[in-house]
Amino acid sequence: MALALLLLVLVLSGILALSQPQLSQGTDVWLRLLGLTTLYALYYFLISAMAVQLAAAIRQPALSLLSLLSIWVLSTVILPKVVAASAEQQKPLLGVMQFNEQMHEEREKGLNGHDPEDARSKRFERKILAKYSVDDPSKLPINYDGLLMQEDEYYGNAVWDKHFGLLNRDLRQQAQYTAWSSFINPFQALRNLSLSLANADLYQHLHFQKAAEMYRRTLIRTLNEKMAYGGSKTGDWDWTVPEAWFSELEDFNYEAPAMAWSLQQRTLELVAIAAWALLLILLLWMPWWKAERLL
Amino acid sequence: MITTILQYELKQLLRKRVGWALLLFILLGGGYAIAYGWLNYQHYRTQIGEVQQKQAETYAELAPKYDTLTQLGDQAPERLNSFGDPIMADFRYRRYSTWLPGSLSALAVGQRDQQTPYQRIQLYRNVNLPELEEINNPEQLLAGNFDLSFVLVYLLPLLVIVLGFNALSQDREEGILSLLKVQGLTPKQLLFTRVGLQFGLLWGLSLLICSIGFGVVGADWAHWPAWGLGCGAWLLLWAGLVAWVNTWGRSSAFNATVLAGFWIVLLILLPALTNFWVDRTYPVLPRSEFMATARDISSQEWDRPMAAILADFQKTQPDLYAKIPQPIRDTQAIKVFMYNENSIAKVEQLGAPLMRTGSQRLDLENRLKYLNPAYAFNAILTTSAGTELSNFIDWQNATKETLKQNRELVTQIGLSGKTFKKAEFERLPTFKAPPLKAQVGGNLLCLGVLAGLLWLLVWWSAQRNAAQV
Repeated sequence: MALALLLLVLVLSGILALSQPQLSQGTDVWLRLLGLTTLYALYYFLISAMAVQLAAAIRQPALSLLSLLSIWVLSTVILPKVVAASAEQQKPLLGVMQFNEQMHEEREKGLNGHDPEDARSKRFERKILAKYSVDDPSKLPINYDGLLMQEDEYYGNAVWDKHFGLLNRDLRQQAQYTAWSSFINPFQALRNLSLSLANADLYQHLHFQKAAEMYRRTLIRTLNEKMAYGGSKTGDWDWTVPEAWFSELEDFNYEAPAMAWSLQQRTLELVAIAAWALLLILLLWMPWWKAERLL
Repeated sequence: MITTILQYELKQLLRKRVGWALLLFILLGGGYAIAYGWLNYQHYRTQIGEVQQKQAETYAELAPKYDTLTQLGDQAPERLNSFGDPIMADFRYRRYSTWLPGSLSALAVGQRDQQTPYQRIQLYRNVNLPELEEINNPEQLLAGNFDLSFVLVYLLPLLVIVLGFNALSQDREEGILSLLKVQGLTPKQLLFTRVGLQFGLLWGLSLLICSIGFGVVGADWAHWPAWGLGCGAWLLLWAGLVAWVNTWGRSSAFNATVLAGFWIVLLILLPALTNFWVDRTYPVLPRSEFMATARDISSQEWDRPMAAILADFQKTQPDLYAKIPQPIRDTQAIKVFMYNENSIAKVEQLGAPLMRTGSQRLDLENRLKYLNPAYAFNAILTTSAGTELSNFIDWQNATKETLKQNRELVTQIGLSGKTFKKAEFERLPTFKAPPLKAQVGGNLLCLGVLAGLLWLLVWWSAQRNAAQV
C-alpha cells in the first residue's frame, strides 16, 4: 500500500513537472521533487509501521482500525490546531493598529523617542549646507529635496527593520514552537517539510519579503539620488527625467533559495522524522513483537 | 422488552473503559475549545476596544477645539485654523467601523479570524481596500481554530461512529445474536434501541457542553435552542448513518471503515470540493492584482489634465457646480473632489464583482448544503454567533454606507467654501453596526430533512436486509 501511494506521488509529481515549463528548468526543482518523494516514502513507512505495531498490540481488527483512525484524526486535525493555538498563546503577536502606531510614532519622534522629525531634518540640512559651504538650500548646486527624501528613507528603513525584525522574530519563534511538536506528531514534520520543499513556508515568505524590500530600497535610493544629483535644483518639483532612464532601471528578479537553504530552516523536523523512523524500526525488532501475533 | 434492553445497554456502556475514555476526551476537548474560544474572543475584543478607545480619545481631544472655533469664530487662534478645514477635520477625527459579533462568537469563530475586523472611516477610504489587515500567526490560519463549533461539527460524529460502528455486528461476530433472537428480540429492535440510546446520551452530552460554553462566555441564551436543536439534528444524521451501515449485515471492521469514510467524505472531501466548485464558479481577483489595478486607476485619475477634470465636473455635477462660490471654482479643491469621486467610483466598480462574489458564493453554498450537511450545521452555529459570511457582508455594506455619508458631508462643506465648526464636526458620521442576522430555520430544516430521509432509508434497509440483520 505504501509503495502504491508512493508511486501515486511520483506519477503526480512527474505530471506536474512536465506540465509546468518553468519546472523543467534547473536541477533544484528536480531535487525538491526527489526530496518530496523521499519524504512521503518515509512518512508512508511510518504509517505502515505504526499500523503493524497496532495490529500486533490490539488483536481485534475493528478496534485496531479505530485506533489508527483516531491517531490519524489526532495527528492531522486536532494536534496541529492545538499546537498552533499554543504557539499563539506563547508568543502573541501585536495587533496591526498597535504595530502601525509604534512605527508611526518612532518615525515621527525618533527611534529613541527624543529625536523628532523636525530636529532631524534641521540637523541634516545644517550638515549638507556645511558640506557645500552655503547658507541656504536654494544655493546648493544639487537638489536638496532629493537628499532629504533619501535621508528620511534611511530613517524609515531603520524603523521598518526594527519593527519588522521583531515581528519576524516572533513569527519565527511561533514556527519553531510548532517545529518542536514534530517530535510528538510526525505529521507536523511532514507538513512543515512539505511546505519547505515546495517553497511555500513562512521562511520562504520572509526570504521573499526581504528580497522585495531590498529591491524597493535600491529603487527608491536610485530615484532620490537621481533627483538630487541629476541636474535639478532645490524646490524644482516639476523636473523630469527622460523615459529612457526609467527603462534602464533593473526589474525585480527574485531568485528563490536553493533546497539546501530550505532544509536548513527545518532541521528540527528532519531530526524528528528520522527519530520517528528509527523508533518504529526499533519497535518492529523488539523481542516482544512476534509476527505470529498477527496470525 | 425495550426498557430491559435500555437498562442492559446502559450498564454495558458504563462498564466499557472505551466509553469513559471517550467521555473524558469529549469533555477535555470541549473544555479546551471553550477556553480557547474565550481567550481568542478576549484578544479580539481587546483589538476592537483599542480602536473604539482611539475614536473616543480623538473625539475628546477635538471636541473642545471645535467648541472654541464656534465660540470665537474669526477671532479663534491661528493654530486652530487647520481644524476648520473639512479634509483635515475628517482626517483628524479617527473613526472606525468595527465588526464585533457577540460573545457567542467565542464558541463559533467562523469568519471572524479571516476578515478585516475594522476599517477607518475617512474621505479617501474604499471599502474594498482595507489597509488594516490583522497580523496573524500563519500556522494558526493554516491549522484553523479549535473552538466549540469544531468539536461539535468534527468530533461529535467520531464519537457516534466509535460507539455505534459495531452496534449489531459485534453480537453477530460473538455468536450472541442468535441467542437473543431465541428470546423473541428482533435484531431491528436491538439496533434501533442501541443507536437510540447512544444518540440520546451524546445529545445530552452535547447539550451539557453547549450549556457550559454559553455560561462561561456569557452568550445570549436565546440562541441556545438553535444550538441544541442543531446538535440534535446533526447527531440524528450520524446515528442514521451508523444504523444504516449496521443494517448491511457486514463485519465490524467493514462498518468502521465505511463510517470513517463517510466522516472523511462529509467533513473533509465534500467541503473541499464545494469550495473548489464555488471558487471556479465565482472566481475573485487576487488581492495583489486588485490592489495594483486600484492603484493604477487612482494614479491615472490624478494625472488627468485639470481642464478635462473641470469639464467632467461641470457635466456630471451641474447643481453642485452652480452652488460653488467663485473663489473655489476651477481650483485644486475641485480636482481633489473629482479625483475622489471618480477613483472611488472606478475602484468600487472594480471591487463590485468581489462584493457580489461574496453573496453569490453564499447563495451557491446555501444551495449545496443539501449535498453537504456539515455546512448546514456549521452555518447554524456561526450564523447564530454572528460570524457567518453573510454577517460580514452586512457589516461591509454598512461600512460602505458610512463612508459614502462621510464623503458627502466633507465634500459638500468643502466645496461650499465653509469651514468646520462644532455643528459640522458633530455631523461627521460614525459607524452604527447593522443588526445581526441569526436566522437558522432554513439550515435546521435542511438538517432535519436530511436526517429524516436517512432514517427512512435505514428503515427500508433494515426491512430489506432483515435476514442478514
